[in-house]
Amino acid sequence: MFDFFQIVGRNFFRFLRHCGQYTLLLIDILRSLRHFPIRWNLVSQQILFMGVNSLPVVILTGSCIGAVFASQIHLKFSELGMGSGVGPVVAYAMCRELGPIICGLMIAARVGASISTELGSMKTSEQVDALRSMAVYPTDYLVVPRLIALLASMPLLVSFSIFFGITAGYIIAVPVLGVEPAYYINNTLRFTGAKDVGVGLIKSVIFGFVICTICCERGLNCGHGAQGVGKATTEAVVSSTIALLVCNFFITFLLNAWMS
Amino acid sequence: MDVMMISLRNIHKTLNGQKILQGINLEIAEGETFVIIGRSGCGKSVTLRHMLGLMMPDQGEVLFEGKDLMGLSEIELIPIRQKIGMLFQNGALFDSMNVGENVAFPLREEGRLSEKEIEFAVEEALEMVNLGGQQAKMPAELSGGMKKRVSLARAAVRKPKLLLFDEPTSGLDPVVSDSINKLILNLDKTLNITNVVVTHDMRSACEIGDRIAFLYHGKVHFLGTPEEIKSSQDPIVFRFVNGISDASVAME
Ligand SMILES: Nc1ncnc2c1ncn2[C@@H]1O[C@H](COP(=O)(O)OP(=O)(O)O)[C@@H](O)[C@H]1O
Ligand SMILES: [Mg+2]
Repeated sequence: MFDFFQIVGRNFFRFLRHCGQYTLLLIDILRSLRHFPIRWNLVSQQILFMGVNSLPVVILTGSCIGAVFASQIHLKFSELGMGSGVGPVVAYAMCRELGPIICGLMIAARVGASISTELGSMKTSEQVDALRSMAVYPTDYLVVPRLIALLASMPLLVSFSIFFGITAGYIIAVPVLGVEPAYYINNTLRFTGAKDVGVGLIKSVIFGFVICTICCERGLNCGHGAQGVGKATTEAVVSSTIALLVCNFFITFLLNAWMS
Repeated sequence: MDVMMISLRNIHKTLNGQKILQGINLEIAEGETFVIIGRSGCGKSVTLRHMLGLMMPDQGEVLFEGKDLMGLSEIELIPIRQKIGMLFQNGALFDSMNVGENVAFPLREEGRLSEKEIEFAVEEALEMVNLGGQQAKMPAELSGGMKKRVSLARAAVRKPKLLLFDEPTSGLDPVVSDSINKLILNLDKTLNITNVVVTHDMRSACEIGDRIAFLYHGKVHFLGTPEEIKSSQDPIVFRFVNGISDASVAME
């Protein structure tokens, strides 16, 4: 029993420490933006790696989810004789939830893990101190370009995820399952609109911010050696996916209250 | 007394609840080559990190050209760090950049020279460490000694006033060690750079040092010229100089 409280207590304090370090990083980002010009050459390098190179996984996962979702919805809707209702449901879900979430999870796994591993190993091999010794502000050099690049890439990636999800849903529903194309498209356009895409894009930017800042924080504060880097990466991916899902709940709630 | 290049006054530092430095006092004059020796783990690297403001003391002051670093923010330290170069114990080369980009890094950051001049300065710095024309190699392809030499070129390329070396010769073969020692002496003579060299290699220390400080239990236990330290009768210094272990000391 005593052990139980000890473990809970220790984890609680670790959580508080992470929150503290996270807040410090956010302040540091603001300070860095105020004092130094943005390094656009690093930003473009990172956009290439984070954004462009992530397109294949994002397109693939988005299409898979769209296709599976369409076939599941069709199963029930066709019983009710509402096969063409699959269109708006798929489009609505892809825009507001599935697109941003699936894309966010993929980016947390692909980009988040690589951010924390890279920064973590730079920290343990003294490369971060080498930057400092050469009069470079690490946040300015390492964090800000990654953050800007991910903020810029996420809307693009989520748009692709949404577009390919809806397209895959159409392919499953219309040519494969035989829904009438004219009704399908008509209903889709009638019940989903710019507002739904807007919600997805707002989410994408917030997810990008959450993933990048959490993974940078874990990487820059990682422990010693290979073990420290491994632990930091695991924590970064787990924390950023949890934060992403929790954030998603609150954003959905707020946006729905605000937009209705 | 003229202004010292760098002075450490009564530095105390505790890391992880362990008292590493317990009142270090050092005055390093302009143009000298100052060597810090001591057993491994005695806090030599920690002392060196204080000179750059990479660590801040719990107590005491670090003066660079008479200006106290204590309490300066990371941004306020930037102009001071531009005058200092550091060779890290394991090189700390950026592994995402090739040799040429690594050496050019401090110059590009400074933004004073044109790309053409930078290329020239990089070649010159690499030739100084006998690695001319190796710009395209990646750090992962280099041996330990080559990494240290590239790192030395990177630290010296901006021609800083003060160069800090953390174990520049450890783990290298005697010939390469000797060439690095000669390089350090040469930097001192040709560019009038102040060098602070951390090492546990007594031979290098005596070869390059104008003065040697011996750290022991977080304090400067002995300070003197190479001749003085070699002829010291202090039992702890004597054992270190002659590489004799002592059961009672080793067990501590
Ligand atoms: N960043 C740090 N955090 C905690 N302990 C440290 C840190 N850096 C060094 N130490 C500890 O300080 C002591 C001295 O380290 P160091 O200065 O690297 O020794 P050396 O004289 O071999 O260079 C060691 O016991 C080391 O474990
Ligand atoms: Mg050391």
